[in-house]
Amino acid sequence: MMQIAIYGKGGIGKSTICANLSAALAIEGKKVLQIGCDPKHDSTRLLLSGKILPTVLEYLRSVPKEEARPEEILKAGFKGIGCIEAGGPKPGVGCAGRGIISPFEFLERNKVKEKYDLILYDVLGDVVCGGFAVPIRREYADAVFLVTSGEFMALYAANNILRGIRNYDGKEHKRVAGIIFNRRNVAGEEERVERFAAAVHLPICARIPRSDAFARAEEKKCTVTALEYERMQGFSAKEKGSFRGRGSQPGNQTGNQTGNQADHILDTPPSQEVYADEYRIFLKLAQEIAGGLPLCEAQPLEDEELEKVVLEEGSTGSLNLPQDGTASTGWLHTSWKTQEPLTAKWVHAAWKTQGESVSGESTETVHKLMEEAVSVEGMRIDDKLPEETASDKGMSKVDGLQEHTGAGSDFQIPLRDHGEVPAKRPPLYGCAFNGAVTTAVRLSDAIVIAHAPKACAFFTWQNITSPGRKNLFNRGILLPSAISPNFESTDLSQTEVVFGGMDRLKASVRAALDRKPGAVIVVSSCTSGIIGDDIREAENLSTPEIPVLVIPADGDIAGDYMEGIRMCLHTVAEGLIERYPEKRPGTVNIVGEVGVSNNAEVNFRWIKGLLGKMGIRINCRFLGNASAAEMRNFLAAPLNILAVDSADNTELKTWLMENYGCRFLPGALPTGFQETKEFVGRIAEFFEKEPPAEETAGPESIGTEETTESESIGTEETTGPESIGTQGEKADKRSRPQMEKPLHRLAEAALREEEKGYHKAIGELRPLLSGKKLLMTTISTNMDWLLLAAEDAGIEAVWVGVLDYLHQGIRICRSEKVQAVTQELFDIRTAEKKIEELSPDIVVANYTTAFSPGNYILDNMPMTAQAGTLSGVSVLRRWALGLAGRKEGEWLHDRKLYQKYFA
Amino acid sequence: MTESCIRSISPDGLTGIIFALEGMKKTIVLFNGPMGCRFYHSTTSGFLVMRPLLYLPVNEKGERAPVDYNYLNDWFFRQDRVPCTYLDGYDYVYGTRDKVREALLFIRENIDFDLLGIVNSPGAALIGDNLLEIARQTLGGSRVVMLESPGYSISFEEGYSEAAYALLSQVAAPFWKGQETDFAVSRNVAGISQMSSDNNEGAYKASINLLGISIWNRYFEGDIKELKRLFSLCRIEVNAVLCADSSLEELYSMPDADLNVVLDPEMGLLAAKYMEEEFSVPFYVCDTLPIGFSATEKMMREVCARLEEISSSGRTEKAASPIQTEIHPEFPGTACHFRTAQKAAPFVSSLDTFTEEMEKARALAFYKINGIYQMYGKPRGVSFCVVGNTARKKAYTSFLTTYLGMEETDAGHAELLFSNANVISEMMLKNRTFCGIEIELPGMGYVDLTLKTHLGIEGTLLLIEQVLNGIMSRL
Repeated sequence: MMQIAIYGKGGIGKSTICANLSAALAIEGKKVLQIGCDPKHDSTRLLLSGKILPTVLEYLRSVPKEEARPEEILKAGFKGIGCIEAGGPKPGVGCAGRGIISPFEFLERNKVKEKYDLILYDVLGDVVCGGFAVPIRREYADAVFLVTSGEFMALYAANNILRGIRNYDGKEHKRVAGIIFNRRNVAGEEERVERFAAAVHLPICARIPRSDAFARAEEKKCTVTALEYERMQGFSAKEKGSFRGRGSQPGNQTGNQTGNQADHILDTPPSQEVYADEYRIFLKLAQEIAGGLPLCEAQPLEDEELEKVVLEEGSTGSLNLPQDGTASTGWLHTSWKTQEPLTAKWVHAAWKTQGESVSGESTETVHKLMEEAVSVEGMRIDDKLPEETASDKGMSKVDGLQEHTGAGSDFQIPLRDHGEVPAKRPPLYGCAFNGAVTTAVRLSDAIVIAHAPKACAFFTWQNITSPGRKNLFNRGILLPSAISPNFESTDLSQTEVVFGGMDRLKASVRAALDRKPGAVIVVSSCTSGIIGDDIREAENLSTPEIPVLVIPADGDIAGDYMEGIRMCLHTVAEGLIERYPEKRPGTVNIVGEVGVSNNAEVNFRWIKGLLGKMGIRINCRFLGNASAAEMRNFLAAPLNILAVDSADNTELKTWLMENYGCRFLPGALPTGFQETKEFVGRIAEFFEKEPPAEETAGPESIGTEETTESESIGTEETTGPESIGTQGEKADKRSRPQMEKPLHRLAEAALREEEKGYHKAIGELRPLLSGKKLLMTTISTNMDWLLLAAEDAGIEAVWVGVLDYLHQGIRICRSEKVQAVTQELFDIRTAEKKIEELSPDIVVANYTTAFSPGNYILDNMPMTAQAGTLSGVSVLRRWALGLAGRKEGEWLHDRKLYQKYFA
Repeated sequence: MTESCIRSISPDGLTGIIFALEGMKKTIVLFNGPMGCRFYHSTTSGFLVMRPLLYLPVNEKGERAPVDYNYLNDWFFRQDRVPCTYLDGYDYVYGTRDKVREALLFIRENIDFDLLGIVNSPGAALIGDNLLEIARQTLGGSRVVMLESPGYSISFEEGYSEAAYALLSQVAAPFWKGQETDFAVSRNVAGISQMSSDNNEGAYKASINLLGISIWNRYFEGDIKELKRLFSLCRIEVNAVLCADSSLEELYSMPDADLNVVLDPEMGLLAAKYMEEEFSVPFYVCDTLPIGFSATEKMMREVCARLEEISSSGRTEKAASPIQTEIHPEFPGTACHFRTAQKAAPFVSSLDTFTEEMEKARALAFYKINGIYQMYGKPRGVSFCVVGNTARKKAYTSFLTTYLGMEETDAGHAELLFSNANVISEMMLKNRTFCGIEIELPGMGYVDLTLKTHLGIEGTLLLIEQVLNGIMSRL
């Protein structure tokens, strides 16, 4: 079996040539299968008496996978030629490349091709993407023909196809059979094609004349080859009768047998027209193929070479091509003469050229000319030849990039030669889709729809539910949004991927709206982004009560995980927040909780309890288990508090301040004793100026507020800090806010309990930890909560290495001692050297670092620390236990056994 | 908000593919996709299987040194499983070939591996890059398996099935057809030579492959151990367990087995059919997973009967011919015992030991169940619900209803809920009082060290134990 791919620019006549070649091969006695790979699926029409086949894609879409049968899409044409149309999506939707891949998989699996001697793939013109290049792959095409005319775009496409082949084959393989020259009778085309063929070192295997014969045959819904074959066979009406209804099965071709198309041909009077020339061309080509064509290496030209070869009159450049200098007037002039409009693609090709061009102008000049030529509809290049060059207008060339330097423009637009991938880009950690969904599900009464294949929905579901399972298993806390998120997926299937998925998305949105959620949020994945689904159309399905919000994350095309969070927060805010809600004095919003953190819920419960003691309530958690109604009333609270003081939250804070006039408390939820003291003071300070509505009610009022679902479920034991005693052991001199007014008194009372507990714990820990040496590597840039507590317990920080991974700016600790040993940029090698050099007792790492066990205790810090006065103390207790016991368990010595049996 | 009882999104084909390939020992699965798609699989794979260290390629002195994960940043991002090409928007436009080639070169230079799998993400599959060719050019040989399309919203089982099929067709078949030349292993490493040496009167022995087990099974290591133990009682050796901690050598040796036993047809039947067609290895499909005494006994009896039948008829010429004469002429004597035997080997009668153990287990179960039944009248009538894939649902449900006399109901009303931790916790959220028993992943977080199983005799006893304790917890 031999497989041949026929490539060429769209509209060049590939299908006609392919069908004629198939017919000729069948006449030569070959069993032929023609597979049309163009979404318009008319490749085999002339072999099937004008009938249009159902496409493989349509068929696979309409039947269950297990019921799909190849015979349903495989039909016999002229002389039993097997005819298949792969099919594809409508223009502008889906991924046509994918549309080729899918049928091929089906045909492979069902071994359809095995019955044939020759397979011909009729493939859409340019190699626009890898999907269309599938037939080029060696497992499919043994040989490739390029169909071209003498027009520049056809040659440009042919050259692109050679590039595609070169990409697959390199220099080692030879698979190009040659050029099939389909004449258009435009001036100079003969020479252009010959120059191109010589330049790419390919033979012109056939020259198809521009002939009315093809049009006449097409009127008869037949190939020229078949018509001439019929004429030569001299079929009589009597013979016609003998063939009627006989038909043949695909692959059952013999020299004496005609197929279904023969029936059609014989329904009309036998042709009296003679198409001997055309017939002979195809028959000769078929015989050459049958006899074994020599194959050539793909040697595409660079764009500038291509232009020189094709456009320049008589030029062979360095290629030493034959010059006749007769008919060729160069492409540019030919364009004028033939009144062919310049296309954007042509301009693009010209733009990429370097050095001198056809008219002696610089490349930049040509670019400029082309740009102007296409800027005014109908205007031709020769209408005006501006003198100003592109470089005068601000074009420059830097390191292989052409860049608009901005003269006369606000934009910097890099343009790349030859579509090269930019230099190594930094990895995107996570994807915007995942970040957006993980955040969106925290809008408690929204339905979040992932416009994605199930794969994306599944691992996102796991990402959301992992802390839910951990909190339940380890802490007995049930977190609704992390256990049963209101999240579903459109589960894009192969069908939607090929034909577009908007119908499915809209159906999912409508179904969601029927369930009366607070909002519907749609997030797009890579797949939906690549196939071009415009999810913004879903916004139109919004009802007066229920908004449909869309987040075009397109997987990671929009950015990384953090970008997805940002997109989601902005979208939710813009879609829900009301500008002038009724004010709720004495309330705060918590902004920027980290959804996947195990500590997020614990921290919220703690701060809720602490604020409650001061008579302050939570208005809205943006975005953490808040309802759409709560989001609408976001601006009702006079004060906002960041949950975590990260770079992303700082950006969010700035955005909310600038766009909504929000007021924020400095800093974030406090971690550690020192921060908690300052935090309480600031809160008191703020609300003294703007008193809570239920100021006098004090802590008793907490239970009266409407609680969210999560707050009403699970245990409260984890909020431990509130249970600490009432009197601190010693006053901390680092900072103490004034506590004179009523709210301050409440705050001081609340804090007093915390303070006593802190100092008591430190007092207990000091004998165990004093003098111990601490070495820390961290990607968190604010470790005050731990380092200050360690300092209070007498621990000496000997080295702190901060990897500025989150680009937050280093402000590791306010302690001067710690600052003196902090190194802002480091790699792990540095840390290992420091461990060796400083012999620490305690090594604190994080998830990006894994140190081998040594003569120290190892600990790991969560990304989001536990809030409250005892954040640091709880860690110190862990260290004390570790240091008090044996530093090594016997198990550590069994590493050698692990390596013996399993490594 | 939640009308339906269960909304948990189950694993899909991409996960099925990755975990099928990750089930192969000393295999690197390069994920050609965004990093976001890969974190879950990298992390989970590390939990599922006790992995050996990654090693640097053997140096000129023949020494092996472990890879330091701290420096394994390129492509691996300091995780030892499932490196990825971290595709971004540019890659979807310009293609992924260069990145894949670069990643392959890195892997080739820095990791000692037997087999490399390349799996496209759903987005990458749209690009259509010919990565298999790049991989073969870069790495040489055919020890590369390419899953070009992960499927779109297909099931875990379909993905797994496709990956298993790809392993056989892209990796095993070339080896058997003599196209794989750079893997320095002789086939007699596998059980075949042993079979050959046992080829004397009375020393009958058969070998089977197990198909349809995944490392994603809740207790896959325990499952394999129990099945191997039970088959060994009948002189049946398990040659390879496809995609479940099996090596490349075992994959190559699969056509040597006398029978493929398909435990879950959704996962293993495609591979079994392929092996029958290409290598004439017959297959047996279990009616249900061997959960419960009856299902286990049925599987054992039917496998033994099938082996007896095969032993008397021998393998077809189609199998013997290419393998013995065309493919590996250097191992002419490696044909399995049954291909030449004409006399039925008495496997069915060798079930005695198995039967005795089974009866003792049933007796033990009776004693324990009866204790509760006498006091509380249970497990009869206890309501249960199984939420899992088709095979599991069928097997568990059959056992619980037939053997224990329990009543099937929906998840919202069941006293015992058999499922994964997502479903179980979801139902707990609804304030349901029930006992959850994990039968599939993800788990709640319990760390297992001892091997457990719900298959075979041992597995059935563990299952009864969990059911009885679940019932007691509700009394």
